[in-house]
Amino acid sequence: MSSIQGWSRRQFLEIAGLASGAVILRSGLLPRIAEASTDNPQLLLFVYFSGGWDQMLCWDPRDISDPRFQAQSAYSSGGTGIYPAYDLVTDTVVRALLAQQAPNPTGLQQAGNLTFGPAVTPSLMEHYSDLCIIRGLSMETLTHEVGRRYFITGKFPRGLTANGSALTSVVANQEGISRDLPNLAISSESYSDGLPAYASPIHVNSASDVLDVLRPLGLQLASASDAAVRDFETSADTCEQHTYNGGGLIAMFRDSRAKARTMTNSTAAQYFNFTLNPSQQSQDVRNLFTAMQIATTADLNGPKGKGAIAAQALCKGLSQAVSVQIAQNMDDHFNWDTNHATTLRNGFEALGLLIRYLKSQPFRDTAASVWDHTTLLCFSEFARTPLVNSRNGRDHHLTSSCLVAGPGIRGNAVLGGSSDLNLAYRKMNLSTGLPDDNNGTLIHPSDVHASVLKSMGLTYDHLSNQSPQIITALLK
Amino acid sequence: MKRSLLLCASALLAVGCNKPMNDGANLGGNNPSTNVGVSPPQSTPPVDHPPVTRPPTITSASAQRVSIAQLRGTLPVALGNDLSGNPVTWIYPNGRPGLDVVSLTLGEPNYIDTTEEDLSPSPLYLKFMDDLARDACDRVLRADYGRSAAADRSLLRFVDLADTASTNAPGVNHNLRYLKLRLHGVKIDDSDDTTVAPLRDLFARGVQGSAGSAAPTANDVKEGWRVVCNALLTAPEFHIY
Repeated sequence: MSSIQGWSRRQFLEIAGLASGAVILRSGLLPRIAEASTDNPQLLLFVYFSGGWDQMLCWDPRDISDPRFQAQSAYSSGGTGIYPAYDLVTDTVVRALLAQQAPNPTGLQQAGNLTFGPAVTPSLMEHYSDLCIIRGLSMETLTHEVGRRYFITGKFPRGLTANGSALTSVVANQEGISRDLPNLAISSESYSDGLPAYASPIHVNSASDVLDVLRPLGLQLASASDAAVRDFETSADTCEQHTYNGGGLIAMFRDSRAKARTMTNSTAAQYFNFTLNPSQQSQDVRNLFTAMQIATTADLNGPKGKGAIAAQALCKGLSQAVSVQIAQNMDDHFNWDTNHATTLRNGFEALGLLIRYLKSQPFRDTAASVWDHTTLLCFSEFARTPLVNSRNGRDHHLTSSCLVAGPGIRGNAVLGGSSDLNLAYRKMNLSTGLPDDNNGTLIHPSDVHASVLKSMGLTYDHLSNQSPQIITALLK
Repeated sequence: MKRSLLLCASALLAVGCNKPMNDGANLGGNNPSTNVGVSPPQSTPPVDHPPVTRPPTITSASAQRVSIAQLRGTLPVALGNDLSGNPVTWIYPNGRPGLDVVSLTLGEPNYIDTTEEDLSPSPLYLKFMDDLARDACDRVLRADYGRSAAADRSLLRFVDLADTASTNAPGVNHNLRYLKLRLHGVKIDDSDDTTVAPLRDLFARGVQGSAGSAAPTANDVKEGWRVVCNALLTAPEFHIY
């Protein structure tokens, strides 16, 4: 290789690449050194209900026996503008609940200090002592993509483009590289901006997708050939690679390639061999299906199946963070009465069964359960209007709620609130968690993200430009 | 006649040159430097031109990973056709084009839910590229080994199908330079055997690994080229530009 005044050509090209300003990612390229918290590893379960949920059916209900929230008052001038209309819902379970509450059904379900709407299932309510509802969340958008990406990253998007990394990527990065699939995204958007390759989300839609990720597909190289290729890759050092590495892209490529090789672990693949044929099921999968009440193809392809994938990823130590779109098609501008409650209920049923399963599984070889190490954040991109429109639907609404739980989070608690006028957001006293319209703080997704990360003992520096407020009332 | 015409033309030219071009609006008398259309002799740019940096600062485009769409278009060009005339590409175990099967998983925009593609070389992307390389290399080599004329082959243009680095070093080197150009766009000088030495060693190792202690057969040589093809298709140069 020729030299130029003592520099090798390779070094010259590398410096030239740097001088050309080759930057390929939006923020810093050099991977931040992850500090693996092996002493008390934290898992994250990030659950998304797609389409915008009607929070009155779940987290922020109203008593339909109260005249203020009945049609005549709700729609009148000077009325509340809030019409839960539970009695219009055709879902059989909701109707059965209202029938049980006759002659003056409220539609409310109480568990501990928590008041739920009629679409929340007993399987989820049984975990009330762990759950914390945050009401009066200001989403600041009525656009699906914006709201979704805002809550995924904790930063308001740039136009429709997600801004920053997903919460799951942040957790996977901070918790280190000890997992095969550190950051698993099940039918869910997820982003990694400037984080190391191992924290990048791995997108799957089904258990078979996970299988395809975890095992080599198709023809395999002979072992001698495979070894030759890998040795070559390790030693390959070309001028072109130095040129392209001006922004760290080649280094990331190599890291990803190494990570990809460790992902193809046939031992892990067995956990995702989801079949309904009992004779082909492993005992582990059989137990999982029993716990998640999966018996049909519809179960497997629906919320329970998605929950089962999340369960395996967390319980088998494959993932640090899992995001899962557990319910979809909830954008009910039409026919809210026939669709919405059922979709919600199916998602909550799956979530409740998943939590129950996580509680039943030991964490590594300890006496603690997987749930004891899991933090949950459940959200939708926004809520739905408190009035029913002329098409039996509900439109988009700025004020939403979310559900959190975790070892660092105070359970059996409701924080914040919405007003009884138009279901508007109310400010929250961060210390007490009570609504405080005068001196409180308007809560945003960034505040929830920062508080959740703090509860996990992780940093939230990446949110500094959002000026997040810690909801200290949320923390144990 | 011709001479008189020439004289007339010369006379007209002389008259024309003496007349100011903007005769109707003579701004500066007969001073040639104020005539319209004459550029100033100095290097000063026009008055409304921004400052010119000399020499100009040229910045290159950032290196980036190919998109799934680019990869889909690249494979048939890089690997040619199989013996049935079909473009060689990655075929998933279910028989469908692999890049179509994993399209959403790898984040190719469908312009319904997603409009942007994450072009970072993620572990998931690299995992599937490993699968792609093994399958596509097998297909292109099966095609090449079914063609007797070297000129008809996609990868093995400058060697015979049983040539090893021992029996035909110049041909192997030439073919490796050709593969670097074809698959990586890197031109290596025809006299440069040093730059392809790592690939040559890899080829020899692939042949040796298959043949063991026996004399290499055509199948062993094919394995050597398989190894080279896999290494080239999983190298950063194939995916980053």
